[in-house]
Amino acid sequence: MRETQAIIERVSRLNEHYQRLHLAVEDYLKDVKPGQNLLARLTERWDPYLRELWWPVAAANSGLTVERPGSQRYEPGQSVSLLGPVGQPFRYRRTLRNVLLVAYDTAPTPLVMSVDWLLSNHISVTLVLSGKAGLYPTQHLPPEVEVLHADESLSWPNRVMTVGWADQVFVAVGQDDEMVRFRQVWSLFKELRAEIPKAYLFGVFQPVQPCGVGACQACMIALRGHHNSLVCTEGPALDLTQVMLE
Amino acid sequence: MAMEITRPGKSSLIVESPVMPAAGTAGFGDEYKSLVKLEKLGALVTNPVTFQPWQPAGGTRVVPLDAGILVHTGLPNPGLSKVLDQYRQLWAGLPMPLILHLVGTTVEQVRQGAERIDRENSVDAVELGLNDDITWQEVEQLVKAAITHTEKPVLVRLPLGDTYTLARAADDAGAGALVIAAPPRGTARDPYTGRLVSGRLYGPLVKPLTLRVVGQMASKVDVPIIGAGGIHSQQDARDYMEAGARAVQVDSVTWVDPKMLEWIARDLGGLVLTRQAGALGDEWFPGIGITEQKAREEAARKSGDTARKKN
Repeated sequence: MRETQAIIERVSRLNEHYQRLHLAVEDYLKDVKPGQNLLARLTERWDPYLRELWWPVAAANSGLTVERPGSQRYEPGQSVSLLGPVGQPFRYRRTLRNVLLVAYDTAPTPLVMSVDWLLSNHISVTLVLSGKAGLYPTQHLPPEVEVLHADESLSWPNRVMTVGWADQVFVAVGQDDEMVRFRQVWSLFKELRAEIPKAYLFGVFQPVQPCGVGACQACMIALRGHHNSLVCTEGPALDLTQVMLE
Repeated sequence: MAMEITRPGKSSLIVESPVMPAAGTAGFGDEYKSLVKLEKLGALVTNPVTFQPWQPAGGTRVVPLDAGILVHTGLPNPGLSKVLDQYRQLWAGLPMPLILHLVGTTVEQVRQGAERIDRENSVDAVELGLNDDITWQEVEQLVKAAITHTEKPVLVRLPLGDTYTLARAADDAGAGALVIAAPPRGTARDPYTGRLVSGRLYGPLVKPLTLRVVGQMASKVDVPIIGAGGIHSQQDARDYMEAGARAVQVDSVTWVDPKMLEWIARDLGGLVLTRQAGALGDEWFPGIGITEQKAREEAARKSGDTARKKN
């Protein structure tokens, strides 16, 4: 974890809802892994007060690319204070063959960076976009990615087969009430599978993070067995079999 | 620059800088080690610890506000014994005193907690956190329960409200110092869920509220005061010192701009900044700023010239 300055080199629009910022960053940030994020501050003033949660979607020698809502305004040349990388990389199984990524009423941005890594390791990727996630454009995704559109009740074609084939599932949900939505996802998978093993179904949490280092404890999640986990240091992906969803 | 920030006595607390993080903002000791030079701080105040384990609050924890935030964590912690077991070794190696923030729940738990802390060499002082709705009688009971069961200095963090009455009670009960004040409570609507959420308020606007109270209390009580609330710059911290505070606690600015905590500590620790652009005086010449250093060099050069002419 370090604090550093970056410069927005280019702003490109995916559609009217999403844009990408291409950043010139220090070398160590080019090693950011799928699942890790950044806390960004664009102004010296105190309004807005908190840092923005930025999800990288691509890292290369030329820099880092992050995805932001289209409603936010950014300018090329703008300087940004970045805190990060925040969190742990997604933990994939060694024997992974098929991964299911689900975005439920939120953009799949936290999951996008993993797509290239998975495909380069010959792992097939299915992306399910449900509810508001349907606003997310998919033309820029690699053609190998199977994109499925689900309705607001998380229903999509061949759902039983998709869930059955998946070796691991990563789900991002709307931030209005993550616990309620993860409960819905859990119930759905309980219906579709006889058993949900450990390290199979991961919730990708996106809480508002004041500090990003585990100091404020505002992102603490209660786990089974009287344990707790901090999303900022141990997340963002937490095994839903371990999370106290009630 | 050693300074005593509690009542004088055999168990007073002496720090090198009058700047420390407020309870609940810098974790338990190692969270900010890669972002802040901890050795520049006067002390480290831990996150709140309860005698028994507490679980995190349910629902919304953080509500972003205009120029601030509302936070409601539920003070999750594994309980005093586990915290001591987990962090004892880390605290023993810290380059500054460690102040453990003990939540004042009941008299019995404070008594047991103080006894437990008294046996811990890695803890240098206790900061007793008080409920916002506490009465002065309860303050007196809790503070007495703490100071009669530990020889370590006991600081008391007061809530905003009837601060004078509570400060007098804590002073009379023998508090080593008063921390004024705990972040005020507020209610705001969570933009994501649309629900109203109550919690503690952080942001620059808190400073005028607490600064006024610190100024009032400094002239009314004899016990040293540590100012806390809304400090976001070196000048904010100096304002508290000017109002009569012996030391300051920096809160939420550490979350959004971690380096600011260190800059404030360097500044009030006697390492005065003499130029802009974030350069720190002590980094190129320990103890003095560049202006003073150049003045000394110039004086030395002139005295050398004079000596050569005489020869």
